Amino acid sequence: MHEMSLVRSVVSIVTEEAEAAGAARVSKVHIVLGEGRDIVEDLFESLFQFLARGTVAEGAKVVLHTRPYMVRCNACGHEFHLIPVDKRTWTCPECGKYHDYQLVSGMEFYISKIEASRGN
Amino acid sequence: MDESRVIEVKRDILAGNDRQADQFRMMRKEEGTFLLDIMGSPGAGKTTFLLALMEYIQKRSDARMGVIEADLESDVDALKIKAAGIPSVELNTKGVCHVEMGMMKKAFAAFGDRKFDYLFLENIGNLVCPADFDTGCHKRIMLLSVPEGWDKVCKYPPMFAVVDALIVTKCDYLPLNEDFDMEALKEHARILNPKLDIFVTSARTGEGMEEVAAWVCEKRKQMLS
Repeated sequence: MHEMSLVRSVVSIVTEEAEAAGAARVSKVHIVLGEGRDIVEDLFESLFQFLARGTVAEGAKVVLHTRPYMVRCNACGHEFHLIPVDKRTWTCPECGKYHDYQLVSGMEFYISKIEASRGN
Repeated sequence: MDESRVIEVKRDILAGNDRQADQFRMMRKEEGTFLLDIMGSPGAGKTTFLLALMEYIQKRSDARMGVIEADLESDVDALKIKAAGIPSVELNTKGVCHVEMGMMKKAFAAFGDRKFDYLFLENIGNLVCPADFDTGCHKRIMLLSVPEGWDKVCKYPPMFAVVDALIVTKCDYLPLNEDFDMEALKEHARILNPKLDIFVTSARTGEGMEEVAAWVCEKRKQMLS
């Protein structure tokens, strides 16, 4: 149930940004979420609706953009999709090097943008 | 007229907590206090491991140590630590599944003027939520006990991805758990975390504890240098 803390932070960032931009109503909140972030999407959405009540973000739609685990091969620099439970994906498809890479995406968790309007 | 527009935000959702954590980490470093976050599921053996670890550290040097015991309820663990003569503070989260900086700072303040060389946070027993929240510690480790099974690494990848070391506990149970595939665990654990240090231990028999204590002491030395 760590979603509560996360959503509380989302609502506070969204209201702060919307107010700074002089927006009266937020219609959409775009969130970029790495595959490595364990979030219950339905719970996230309903908590947002609950915590955003009475703010400029009340009723806004939450749009989650998921980013897969991507790694960069240390040997050849090729970037590829890693699936932790699938052994076949632990080897670079370009040069064949086994399990020698850096994680480049999959742990993201940020608000990319919001859609807002001045009027109600 | 509809004046709908896009406001670029690009702000990290956990930034507020992360900022406080960085500041806290820096302040403790200046005081010479090395903080270690210990995570793992309920029953992984965190308290028993910690008691053994402190004993092994004490053998190496006369260190000042303290423990922040985080639990949803009760002071059962804090009392065990106090019984061993180590100062401890109980942090009851009352149902919250992880520790955040606000709680951490309050718990630390409860020690008053006490100074430590090592301060341990026994995090909430949970393999999911604590992974996301920086607790202001210098290093994070997780425990996985042999009775839990090696395949937890497949089920909770983020936790294995964020820690500096994986401690396999209760290895004295290995003869009773033939299905425990140590090599598969090590291979999978390093899939998202290639630099992960792995130790196989038993607090009861002492196996591997000397090595973990040496690792912890070395990390403090690196922090100070």
